[in-house]
Amino acid sequence: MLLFLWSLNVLPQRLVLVGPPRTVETRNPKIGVHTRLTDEVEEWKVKRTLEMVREMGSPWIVEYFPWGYYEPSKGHYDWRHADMVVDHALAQGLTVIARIDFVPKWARPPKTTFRYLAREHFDDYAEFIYAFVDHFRGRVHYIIIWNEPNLSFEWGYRPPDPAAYTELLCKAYRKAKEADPKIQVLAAGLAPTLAPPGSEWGMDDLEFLRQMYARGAGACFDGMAIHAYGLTFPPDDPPDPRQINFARAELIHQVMEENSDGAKFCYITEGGWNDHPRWTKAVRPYQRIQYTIRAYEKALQEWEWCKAVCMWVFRYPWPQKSYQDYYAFVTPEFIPKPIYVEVKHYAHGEPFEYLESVLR
Amino acid sequence: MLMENLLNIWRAFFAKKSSRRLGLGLLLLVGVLLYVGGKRLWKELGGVDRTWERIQRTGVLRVGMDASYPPFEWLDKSGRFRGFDVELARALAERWGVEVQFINIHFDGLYDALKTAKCDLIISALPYDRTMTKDVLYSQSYFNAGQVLLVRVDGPNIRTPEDLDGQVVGVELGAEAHQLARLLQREKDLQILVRREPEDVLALLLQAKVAAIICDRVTACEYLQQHRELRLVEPPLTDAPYVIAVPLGSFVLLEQVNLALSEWRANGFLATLQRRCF
Repeated sequence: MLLFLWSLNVLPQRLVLVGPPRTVETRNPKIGVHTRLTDEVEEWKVKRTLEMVREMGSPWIVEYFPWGYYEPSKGHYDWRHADMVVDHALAQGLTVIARIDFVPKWARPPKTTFRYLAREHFDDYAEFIYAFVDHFRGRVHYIIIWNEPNLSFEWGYRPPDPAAYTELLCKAYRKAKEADPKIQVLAAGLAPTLAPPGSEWGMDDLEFLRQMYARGAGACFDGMAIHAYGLTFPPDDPPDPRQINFARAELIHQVMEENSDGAKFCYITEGGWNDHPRWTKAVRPYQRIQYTIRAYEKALQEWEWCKAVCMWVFRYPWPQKSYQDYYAFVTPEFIPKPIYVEVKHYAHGEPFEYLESVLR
Repeated sequence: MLMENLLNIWRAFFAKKSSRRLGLGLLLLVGVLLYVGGKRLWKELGGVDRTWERIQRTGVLRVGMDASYPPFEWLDKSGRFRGFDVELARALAERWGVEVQFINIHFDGLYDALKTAKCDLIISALPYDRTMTKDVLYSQSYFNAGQVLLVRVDGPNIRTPEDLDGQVVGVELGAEAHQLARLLQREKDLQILVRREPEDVLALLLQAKVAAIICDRVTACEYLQQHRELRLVEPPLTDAPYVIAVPLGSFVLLEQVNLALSEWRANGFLATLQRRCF
């Protein structure tokens, strides 16, 4: 089709201006969301998404920057899409936390998934980290090294390996600091999981973190990314190593304290509740609104060690046709869901539109 | 003579540079379409249906599902698979004279499981997804789970969404129905009453405090069974067709699935199953 349009000389170009710098108005500076702009092609949609994030009163975003997209062949970088996303985010007054993973084809064996990173390519990943941090110096101040390394899925269906992840983290950390000493390197958010020892699918997140520390990971990150999903439990459900809930974040921080690392900040880079009508791990929609607002407030009032709470997920570029759609704040067509409306009221200190007062 | 005329037209057309470019573009486009279409057709028609062959050879139908979506599929206390989709899968297996084996897979991994032949088909309250049509084949829909209007038989005469003008509707706070009602409110003089729990929304309708409620069809089916004074307004406000997915190239399996669904729709088996499970 592109060839056809090229032949007609009518390739459409819609002019989208970044616009003047804006600031986020909010009563809670820890509010954040995980955006999903990686596969969003049209620039006006990227801009509109980030405008809506700002308008909701969220100063933080986490965005995914796949290595495989931006280094299609070794040493050749294409930052166009990443630049576009970051520039729009900055114009809206947002702070970007960049999650970096996704192995390019040239850095993995054939017939492996994009999560398969072999040890012999750790240096390639670290060099990409250098290039990314160098390119975005002064614009992106936080990067996350890999994602949920305690799951076998994230190792290309190999057993999770705390030692290997620590090695990767340390290599990436050194290269990131080489590119920009001020960059904040976050250790990957671990998947909250109660997998039994020896499970082929994953390793208990608390155990994985302990093993990371045992291998010297503490010297290789400035902050900790945390994934804090509430499932069916409210945000004030107490932490319990045998339970997955929002307050499990406290247990991650506790492991950090046990390793004299408690002074480092934590950043919830994924989390929240799902309100699918029938999924057994979902809550009712009103509960999702209540719990989300309470979680933001809890982090503000009670978790000094937590700098941001970025809920999964602000908006998908297209419908996921699964329970995943019920994590979103806004539909792919930019229709704000009631949760967006109420969080916006909360962030601006306004009365709720539908929800009775749950916090005041 | 004819050939010569055609060649003259061809030469005249390509005399201009812009026409040459247009022609080249068109030729390339046609070539690409022929290649892609032909390759797919060849794959679909030229090969054998290995999935159907395997089911017949082993006598086992392996069904992938995420058993966490009642009333479609869930595990009871003794770990048995239960629900509408489970019954549907059993009926398919019985029809084909094979055993059924359920494979419980998280929803995110269902398509991967199908593509890597870990299961023969997916029956899991699976919504039709046009972005996946290059990866799997979908059956016809066996259930539309979209949002619907539910009204009282003796209430205001609401036959279409247009009749909601000037009326009060009840919805669950924050649900998809709530979002839909807010959208309808942009075009109509519509008052929205929200309640936290679905049963409280139903109570609004039963007590005639609202003219209609909006909910998904599964919920509506449950309510209709319990309350004869209620009526469903067709067509639905939104569509969410549930389908069965089979591997690409499994054209015999797909045909067999569609044949069964068509028959069961005609003879009322699907409706009976629905009443039994919802």
